[in-house]
Amino acid sequence: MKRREFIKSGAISLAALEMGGIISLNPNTLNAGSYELREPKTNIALNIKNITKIPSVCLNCSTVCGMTVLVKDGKVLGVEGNPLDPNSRGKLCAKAHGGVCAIDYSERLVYPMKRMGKRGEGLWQRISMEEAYAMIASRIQKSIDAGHPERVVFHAGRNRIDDITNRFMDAIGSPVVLNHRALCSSNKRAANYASIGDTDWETVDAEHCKYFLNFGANFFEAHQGGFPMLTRYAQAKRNGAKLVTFDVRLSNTAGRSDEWLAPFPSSEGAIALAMAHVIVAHNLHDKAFIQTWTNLSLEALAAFLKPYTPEFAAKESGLEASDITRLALEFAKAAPHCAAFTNRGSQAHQNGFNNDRAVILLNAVVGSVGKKGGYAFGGSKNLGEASFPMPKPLPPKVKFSTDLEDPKAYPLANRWQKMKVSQLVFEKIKNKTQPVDVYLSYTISAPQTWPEGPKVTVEALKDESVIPFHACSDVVYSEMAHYADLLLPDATYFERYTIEGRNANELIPYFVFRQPAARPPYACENFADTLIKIAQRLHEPVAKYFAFESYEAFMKLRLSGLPEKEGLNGFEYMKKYGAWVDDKPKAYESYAKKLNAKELESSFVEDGIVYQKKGEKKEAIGLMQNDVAVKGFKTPSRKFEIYSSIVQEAAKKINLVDDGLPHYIMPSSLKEIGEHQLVLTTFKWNVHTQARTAPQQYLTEIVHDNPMWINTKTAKKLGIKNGDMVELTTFRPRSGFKASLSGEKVASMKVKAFVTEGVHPRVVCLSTSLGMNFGGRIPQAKNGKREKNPSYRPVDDQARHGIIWWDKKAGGTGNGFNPNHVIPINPAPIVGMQAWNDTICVVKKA
Amino acid sequence: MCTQCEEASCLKACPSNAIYEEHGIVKIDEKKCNGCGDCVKACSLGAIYVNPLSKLAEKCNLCAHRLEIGQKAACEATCVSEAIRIIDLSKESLPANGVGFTMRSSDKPRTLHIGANPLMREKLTTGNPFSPYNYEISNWARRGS
Repeated sequence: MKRREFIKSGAISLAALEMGGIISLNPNTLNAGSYELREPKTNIALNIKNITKIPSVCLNCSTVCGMTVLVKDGKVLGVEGNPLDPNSRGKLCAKAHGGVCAIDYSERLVYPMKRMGKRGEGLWQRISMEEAYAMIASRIQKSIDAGHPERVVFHAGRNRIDDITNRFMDAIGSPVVLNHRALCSSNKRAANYASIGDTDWETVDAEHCKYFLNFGANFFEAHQGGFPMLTRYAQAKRNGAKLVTFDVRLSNTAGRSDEWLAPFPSSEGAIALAMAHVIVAHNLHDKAFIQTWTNLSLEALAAFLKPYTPEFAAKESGLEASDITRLALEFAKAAPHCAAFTNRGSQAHQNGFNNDRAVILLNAVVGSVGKKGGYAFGGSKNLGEASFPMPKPLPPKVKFSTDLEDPKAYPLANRWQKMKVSQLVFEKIKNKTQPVDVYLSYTISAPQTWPEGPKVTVEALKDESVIPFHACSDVVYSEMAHYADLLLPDATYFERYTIEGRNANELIPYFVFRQPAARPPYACENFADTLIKIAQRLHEPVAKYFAFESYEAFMKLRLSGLPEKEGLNGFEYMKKYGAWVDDKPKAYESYAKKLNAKELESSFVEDGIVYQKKGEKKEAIGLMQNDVAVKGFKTPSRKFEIYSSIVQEAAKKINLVDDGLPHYIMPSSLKEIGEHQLVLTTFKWNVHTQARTAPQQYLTEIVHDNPMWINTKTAKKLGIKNGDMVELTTFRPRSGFKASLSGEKVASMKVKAFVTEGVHPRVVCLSTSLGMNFGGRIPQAKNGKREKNPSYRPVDDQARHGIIWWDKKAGGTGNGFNPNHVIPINPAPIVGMQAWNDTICVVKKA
Repeated sequence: MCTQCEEASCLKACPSNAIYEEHGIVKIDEKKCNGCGDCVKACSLGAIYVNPLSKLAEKCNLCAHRLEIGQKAACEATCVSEAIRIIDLSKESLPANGVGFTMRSSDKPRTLHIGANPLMREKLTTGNPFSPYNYEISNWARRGS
């Protein structure tokens, strides 16, 4: 049922838009006059003189580049790069520039609302924030009082305020903090952890790199952390570097590479191991590095690599063995100024964990790990408690877990970081595996972005018997918001604080600081502040952990430990400059660093590993090299781990046989693919993130349509022409969750075909980000007046007719297609990463 | 992108004298523009277009408003690979390997390109300016190879 069926069009004036009004505006009243064109106020050209510049940090994707916000008369007019950010170095991408659209978006949520009617029906009543706090607090208090704090669930997507959200959940005593990492990058992170004991993301020292071996990363467009790498790659390229890209699709990265090779999906691991095989066979491996810094002997390495010949990899990948050999030799000859790296592509397979371990291994084989121009790594300064202590008193950590956030069937899901396996969460909630009283959602649009989200997630969210209460904080009326009981209007990233920072591409610890460039409009409020206010309304002991008046006050406390600079305290300094860089040298070969006397206090050596006593326990802090204690890697052996005891033990827990080495096995779905079947993979555009950019006009003007890419030859065989509508049908995987050997169908969808040479003949690609059902006129491609919603701002200043040329009614393409209608929930073993790129499908002309 | 040509064909074609040149930048006086589109037809590069909302001609003016207050043009400031530079000739000379990109022998571009792909000419046609429809995916295949 649509909202408009309920809302009667009585003559209600703007003045009637008050609290308690269920019925929204009458379109005719609105038409009567008062909307204005945005240009005069927001046109930078007319306002550029005497503009105020506020350093802050972008969050239109999670790369968090430093930006300078251009403000005049309290209005954000645009953004520029902040040259003080050592990662992005004063540059910004299209997403960053487009993000300003979020602030004045007509369909932005600006008032809190509570649900009327049935959940998901779209009937809302405006309430006050005070009422909203009280509603949530009373629900949570009830769960705490009943002895079931774990029935309060917090679920976030791109949550950058986990300093307050974790504190909140600890304070109420619930361990059930869910995220989206297994839909994003958990295999990749796990591969980095298993090999070098370090993440956030790998940090190629791109500026000095001479040979980039890229396994499926689209770092020109969409790779997380890709933007800082891109600025440095551009420099390397001018100095003659070579870029080789393996990708099933001709992304803009692949298209601008020196060589593009399109392997069969999931075969990256075979290629990487074969390259290592070639390098060892040609005696080009870095024997000293392997012997000193890896936990495998030269003989054991050679024995492991023996079966992975170029011919084997050629068979698995469809590439030429001669190409694999040639590129392997080129790569090795560029060492140590070379790096093999991945991003989300190679890891989003059932065998993705080992694929990425195999790629990382290539760097160890040629000894480029930690070297100048090589596969470097080094930290962010934004390491939570360790970098910026949390204000005391701290709530105690919750000491139990539930299967929702800690699924035992995936033993490495939470081994290093909280990666959860959130694609299974809604299925579990639906099946009442874990009772839920209160579901709090923040920066997440699961009905749209989850595999099978449009079905499974929606079914769970709609069912009031499994989720009795759902409060959602969001900026727009998103897919998630539609299925809430209470809506909280969040601040955009232009209106709030955050301590930010990623892996340091400069290899020197740094962090950046987001601060409000404008006040949150109307009743909008940073969700961090909302949580503080809710906590203060809960009984002790919860409230005592939130004895600060705001998130701003909390930020001041967290930054108070920074040394004074230029006569400014930490908070003031960060507000003035927005970026902080430690006075330290670049972290090359940090593993070879000697441990100093202080670090060696109360340490002892056992089997060549240096341990420190931590109460009853011991913690490995380094290893002995030629009688000197050095740092090594943050792995159990303190070496680069080709063999991983952690992996072997984890596999045993779920009755898998695994010798701890990164072997290559193609997922059975792909191995046994039928002659007429294809593989569906997904990708991301340069101007969009999964769920949060489609409502932004400037970006959606650029990409609003996402037909399915299909190879010219394949299309010809199937009688499909460019622009034809086709029927895409998908099947369950042959192993893993809901495995089906008989090829059980998941779903079908109709989608438009884009016929191109730029995709592997056995692969079809459908992007994320589009095909939204909610979010306003821009993402829904609907011209005309906005839908009625008491949470919108009173004046619709976007009511210029016809600005959406991609509206189907205006002869346009429409708003695209959401691939999650047909992509099965498919967590890879051990880590639980969603195997996005393993989906078996068939395509026929519709 | 507009090459800010000398004796600009758009300037000459404008019947209402809305296009003028200042400090080597070809600019549009929006108060004078009547949206007739003669300039669009005159440009060999497709670098000028009529904004479908304002119905006025628009083109790149090298962010003159930014240059005036000592800032870089927006594209130059944000370009990740530093592929765009505005050179102040009083401080720096032109790069020796830069060449003007022309579609007609009569074009006199002020901008220079380093390593421009001649195949770009296939994508640029007189009177076929920027249009959002050119960028629809269904048109990708048709716009040059």
